[in-house]
Amino acid sequence: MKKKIIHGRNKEFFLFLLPSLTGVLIFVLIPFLDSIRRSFCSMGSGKFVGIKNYKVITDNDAFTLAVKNTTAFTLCCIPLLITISFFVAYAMNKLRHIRVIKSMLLFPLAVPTAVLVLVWKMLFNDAGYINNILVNSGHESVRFLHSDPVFWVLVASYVWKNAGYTILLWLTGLAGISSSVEEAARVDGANEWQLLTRIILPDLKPTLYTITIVSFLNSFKVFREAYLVAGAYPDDHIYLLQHVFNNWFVNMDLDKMAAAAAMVFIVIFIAIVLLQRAWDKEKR
Amino acid sequence: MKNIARIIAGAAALLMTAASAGCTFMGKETDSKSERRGGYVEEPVDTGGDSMLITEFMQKPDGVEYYDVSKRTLFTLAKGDQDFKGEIASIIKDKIPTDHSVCAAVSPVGDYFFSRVDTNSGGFSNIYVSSDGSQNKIETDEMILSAEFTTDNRLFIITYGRVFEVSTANYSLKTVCDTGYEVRAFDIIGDNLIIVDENGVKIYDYKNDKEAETPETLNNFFKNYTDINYTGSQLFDICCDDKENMYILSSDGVFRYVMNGNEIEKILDGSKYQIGNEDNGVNSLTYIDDGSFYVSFKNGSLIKYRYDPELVNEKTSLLKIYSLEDNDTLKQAVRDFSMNNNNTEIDYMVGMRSGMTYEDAMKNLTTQILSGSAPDVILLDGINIDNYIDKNLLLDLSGSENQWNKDGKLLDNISKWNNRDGKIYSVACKFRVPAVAANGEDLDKIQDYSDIADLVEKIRKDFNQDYPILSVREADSIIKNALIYEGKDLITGGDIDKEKLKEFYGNCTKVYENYRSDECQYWGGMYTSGSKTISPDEYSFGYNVLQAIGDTGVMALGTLNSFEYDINYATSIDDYRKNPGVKMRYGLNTDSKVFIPECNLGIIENAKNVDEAVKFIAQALGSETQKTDHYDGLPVNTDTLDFYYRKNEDSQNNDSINIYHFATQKDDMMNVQWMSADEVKEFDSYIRSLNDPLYFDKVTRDIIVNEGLMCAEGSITAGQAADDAFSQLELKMKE
Repeated sequence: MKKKIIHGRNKEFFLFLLPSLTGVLIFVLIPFLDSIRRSFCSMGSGKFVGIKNYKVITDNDAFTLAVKNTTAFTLCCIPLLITISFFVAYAMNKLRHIRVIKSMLLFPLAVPTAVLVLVWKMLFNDAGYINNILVNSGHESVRFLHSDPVFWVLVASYVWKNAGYTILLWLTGLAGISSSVEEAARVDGANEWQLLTRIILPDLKPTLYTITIVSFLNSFKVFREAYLVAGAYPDDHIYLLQHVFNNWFVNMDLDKMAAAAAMVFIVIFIAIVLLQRAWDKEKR
Repeated sequence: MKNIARIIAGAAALLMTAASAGCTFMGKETDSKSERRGGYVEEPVDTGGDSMLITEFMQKPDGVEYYDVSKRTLFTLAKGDQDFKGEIASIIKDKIPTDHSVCAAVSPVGDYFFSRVDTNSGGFSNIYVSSDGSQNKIETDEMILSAEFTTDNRLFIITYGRVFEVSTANYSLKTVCDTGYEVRAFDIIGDNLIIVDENGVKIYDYKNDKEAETPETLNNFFKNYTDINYTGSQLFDICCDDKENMYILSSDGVFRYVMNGNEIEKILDGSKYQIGNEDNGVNSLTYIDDGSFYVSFKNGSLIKYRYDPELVNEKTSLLKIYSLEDNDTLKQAVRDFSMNNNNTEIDYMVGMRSGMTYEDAMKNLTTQILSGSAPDVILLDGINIDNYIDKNLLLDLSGSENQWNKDGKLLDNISKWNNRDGKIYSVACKFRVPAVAANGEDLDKIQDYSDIADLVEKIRKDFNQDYPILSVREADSIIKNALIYEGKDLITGGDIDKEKLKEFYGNCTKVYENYRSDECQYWGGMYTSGSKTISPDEYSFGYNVLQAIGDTGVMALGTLNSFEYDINYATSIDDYRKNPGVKMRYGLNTDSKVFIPECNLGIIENAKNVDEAVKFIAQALGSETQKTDHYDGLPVNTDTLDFYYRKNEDSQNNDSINIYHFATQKDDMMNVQWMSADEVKEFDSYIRSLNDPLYFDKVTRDIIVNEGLMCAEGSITAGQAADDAFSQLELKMKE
């Protein structure tokens, strides 16, 4: 009897969901499946070529470089962002009147990318402010946008832009920790470090999960800055996956693009599943 | 409740499919439209050949009158007759002195108004000639830009910023209203003065002496043109019919507007007629009773657009043509093809129109190809042709050569430069030939671009004159210009030569630093030659030659792009008595066989209309289409070349051009003659020996130029520029 009721309800839900599901199907799932199909076909003739495209992209130096840079960028900036923003949030949580500061934290997100890029260029260009200072103080100028430092400029830009928002997420998480638990721990003689590691951090795991996912997804958006600063072919150190995809699309390398998209999807999917599993395991 | 929920869900699902259903209906509507009859037939009017600027049409009972500024005479076109019947109105011919007329107006009762500029003094004067022959001067503080008579014989004139009415009693001026500074069109429709300026449209009711409300539709229409770089020449003309409907002429076509209506209808598509040929430059429009128009052009030609209600306008096929950027030769081919193939609808798309970037344009093109709406014909200039060939996106044209090269009249070495193992994926319709001009002794020493850079440096040291050694407007022109000569050596067989790049940037910087002194007063600018206004760029060899023969220590670089504006200048310098010893040579050095293929056309492999696409390419390569000189390359059709070669047979084709001497600050005239038979022989033999095409896709060219620009301006060294360019180009190739 119970089963029957659920079955009936499912049908109704399906009708209500149909419009949005149709949208997702048309604009997301079918194109995705089509891109999987294209990854096994050649661009011009559309003939089935097996895993040739996958072989081509794994042998493609540009793709390898982009994967390396994107991985390095993600592994570098996400832990940095999470750590910095957590400690700032932890410190801010002890302050009383932080409403104004909270609002200000969102300012970097409101800064248009074009403006940010302009500031970048003014600061880091070969003839920019920083190089002017360096040269005037007797040092050699540094090619920030055309050598190793450009990677760190990009990391700094990402952290600066996303730190405020991440701090707010941490603050929300911190606000959710019961003060009575903290007080009980203090009564039991726990010091600040013990309080942090034994009470606060374990309680912040759901927040950490959310922040990690959001930061990971935001890390892909940094392409806009890299693209606007250095165009489609930037310095090797900031040549990201999106550059490859963008240029392949422009050059009609859709077979390679489809294969690369499928590979990237699999990697991201596995990463998220692993993260979810780890989270579920902790919950149990 | 359940039923209501189901109905809502069902309706929502139906809505999702509404868009696709709509597409079907749209298609049917388009089909029905294409079955309509009626259209305009273009009929050129023979104006005697040497007209410069025809203006001021006036309908008279016995025909249409027009005023020819160059002949300073008034002519009448017999009614209903497309042929020219010139009747010189003696009143005008006798009494107007032979100076330059700026504008003219003719009243319905036979009064005339002329505004003239004295070409010697630069002063201007205005004269009112009554129908009885009496003349009266009209004094103004400023030059009159345009004048119009009303149907009740009132005269309104417009200057920079103001409209005046001229009193026919004492010929004094009365201010009517203020306007903007850049007057783009002025006419009178009914009781209204219509003024189009940089601010939009202003309508002034002259009978009630008050400004009338401008219809939003009209204002919006003209606002679309306000971003166009205004060069002082007229962008539009407006006129009306007897029902006071407004007709607007621009290079986009002829538009009709019913006053106070909500729609402006395009009744004649400029892209399919000579109206769209920007080289001609639209000037004046007049409506005649039978629904036809006369359009005069800045090059002096006059065309009647006769409305033919029986013209079969059924479009049985669609030909899609794509180009990344505007291309004059392609537009000419579109116009000619449209006129010869009335049943084919042409959809000409320009990817980078309206400020769209290269990447966005290419992404759009990719989407079109993937979605099955690929263009049939593609102009490959700026596109990575190798990439398209590798992906089998281009059709092999060798199979249809008997159609587009029917009589074998093309220069094979140039038009079929992209021949790969017998397969032809693109054909060039035009080509440019690099050339150098310098002092005879110096010219002999030039073997590569580094010699040019050394020579520029030497000239600067020896003379340090206050005029430039090269006529260059923008710094990037130097890099683009250097690429013409050195481009072949930078990337060979797909490999980038980093050392060559460094040397290239070093040479460009040397030229940039020396081509003018800090005190240099003179810069190259836009110049007018004949009816054409040319804005010099990295290719403009002819213009640079004119500078080079003016003074000592000036040289010319660039390419030969036109007979009239490049080759004729270059081959005429030997006879110029004040030539300081400048000689010209085809190619950078004596062994150079480099040419730049232009207007490279290809057909997309899965094009839907291959037959029409082949016909279109045949049209573009045909001798008639190739005859029109757009200053974008020399023709590849040998019949067209012969047409130009034979121009020397008629001395009337020769011309003269003003040479300005920087040092003495004086002008002088040089006779410009068409190539002599010997020069023709030499030139023809040279172009038939060219075998080294220079082609860069836009991305590669931009990378090289951008880095070169930073290097020339001193932001980075030549080594750094080479490193950066190398790294970017390498990355591009790795992809």
